[in-house]
Amino acid sequence: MNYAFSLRAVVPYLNGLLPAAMATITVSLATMALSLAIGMLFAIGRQNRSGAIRFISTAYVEFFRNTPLLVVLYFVYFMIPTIGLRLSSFSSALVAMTLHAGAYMTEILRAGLLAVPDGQYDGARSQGMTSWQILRHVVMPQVFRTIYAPLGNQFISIILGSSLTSAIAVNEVTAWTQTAGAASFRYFEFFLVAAVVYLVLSQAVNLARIQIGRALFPEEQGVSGAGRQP
Amino acid sequence: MRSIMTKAARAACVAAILLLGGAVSTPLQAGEVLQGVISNGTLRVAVMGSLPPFTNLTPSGELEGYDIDIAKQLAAALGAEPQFIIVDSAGRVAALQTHKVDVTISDFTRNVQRSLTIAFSDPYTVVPARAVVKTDSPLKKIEELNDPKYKVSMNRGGNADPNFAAKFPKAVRNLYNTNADCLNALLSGQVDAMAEDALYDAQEIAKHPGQLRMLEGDYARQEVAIGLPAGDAELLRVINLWLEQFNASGDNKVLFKKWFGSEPPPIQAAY
Repeated sequence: MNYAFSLRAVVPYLNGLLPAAMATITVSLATMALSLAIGMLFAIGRQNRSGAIRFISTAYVEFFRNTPLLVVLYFVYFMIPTIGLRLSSFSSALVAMTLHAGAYMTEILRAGLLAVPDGQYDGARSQGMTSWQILRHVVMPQVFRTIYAPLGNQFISIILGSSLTSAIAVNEVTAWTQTAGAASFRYFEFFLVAAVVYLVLSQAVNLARIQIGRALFPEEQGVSGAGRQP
Repeated sequence: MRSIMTKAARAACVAAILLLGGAVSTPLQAGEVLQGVISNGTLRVAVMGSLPPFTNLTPSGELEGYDIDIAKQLAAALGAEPQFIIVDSAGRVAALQTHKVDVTISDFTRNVQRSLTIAFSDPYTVVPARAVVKTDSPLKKIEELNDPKYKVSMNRGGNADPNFAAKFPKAVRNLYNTNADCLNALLSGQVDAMAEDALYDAQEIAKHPGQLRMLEGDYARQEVAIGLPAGDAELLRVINLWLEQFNASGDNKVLFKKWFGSEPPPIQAAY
């Protein structure tokens, strides 16, 4: 019996691929935005004067960095309902992925914040800038330049991590691959298509990051990821 | 530098071609699988690791179960030693397609879709496919599930999905990778019902006393059979002969009673 490789076997299932890809994109983009916000919060929290806030922030980071994403997904989807809060597949996926990615974002942003020299704060304050103005005009552009590459890595890791949400019945690309592959018994073709889809999505996010960086911080070198050659 | 790059690129291309070439299997000669079993003295059987009481992996690493005993008796009749290879739900078909195993004996339901790529023997047991709910659920009959407000969990890669979709298309189907996840979804309230074959359902009801019950009615009549690679009519002929005698002599009834604790249902449909 031949295993005849034939991409045409994928065609009857292609109309399920578009909603699946939209689900992947939606959950990934939402996670990126939310985890950046949480990351900023906890990164500042880790430098806080108050010991209690520092402890909470560090505990959050250490817990969610050291637990696998699949375990967090299972916990939020299967275990949380037993205390009365039942979230849908999509909401559970969003919560779990945000908590998980937020821990990594906290560390990335904290590294960026630490890289800003103390003199910058003094200089800005001597100019009479408020805390918010310092953050917006002096600190964040420098932070962004430092964290640019790790941020890209984290975004791609979020997109690829979204494939795990198929375990809690989110209808995304990996779920489509497994279901269609099992229905047609042509796993090779379907995994190939899924790999291409993830590749395209990751690269699209990468290019978007580069363009947004260039638009936000045109004067900074290295923000585009290419940098100037010395 | 450039010459090393082209050499490396060429080596990579050759490796890729060899790998892809190896991945395409050759067509079966008539009787090839059967001859292989006889000459090697080994019957390679694909089983799922954890589907009691069909197959179960004991803590000591031994496999035991209804399907395991059937495989041992079949191998003995062919004059071979059984060799068990553990696969997952979808791997039952893939292993046969790629000739990694000679037969699959693993609560394997036969349907036309699967038989396009592999062959099935006659059935050795018949199970109705039913739905399980929590005891405090308001549902009574399986037909009530045909409503978009009800969510039903089932295995991805099994035949519950197409069967349930055909009979009750309006229900929302949540697919999970394992039966354990499907059951967890039901117990945690994420879904309203779980669809699986009646024997598995009965097991789970016994394991969770007072928590689960089955809905009246079924959504499919599942014929459980032995899977084998398509194209070997000799192996199919021999296995079917063995199965007929296995059923007629009462050996099947003895094994079924041993593992399921009840009389086996009639295999022949009345029509």
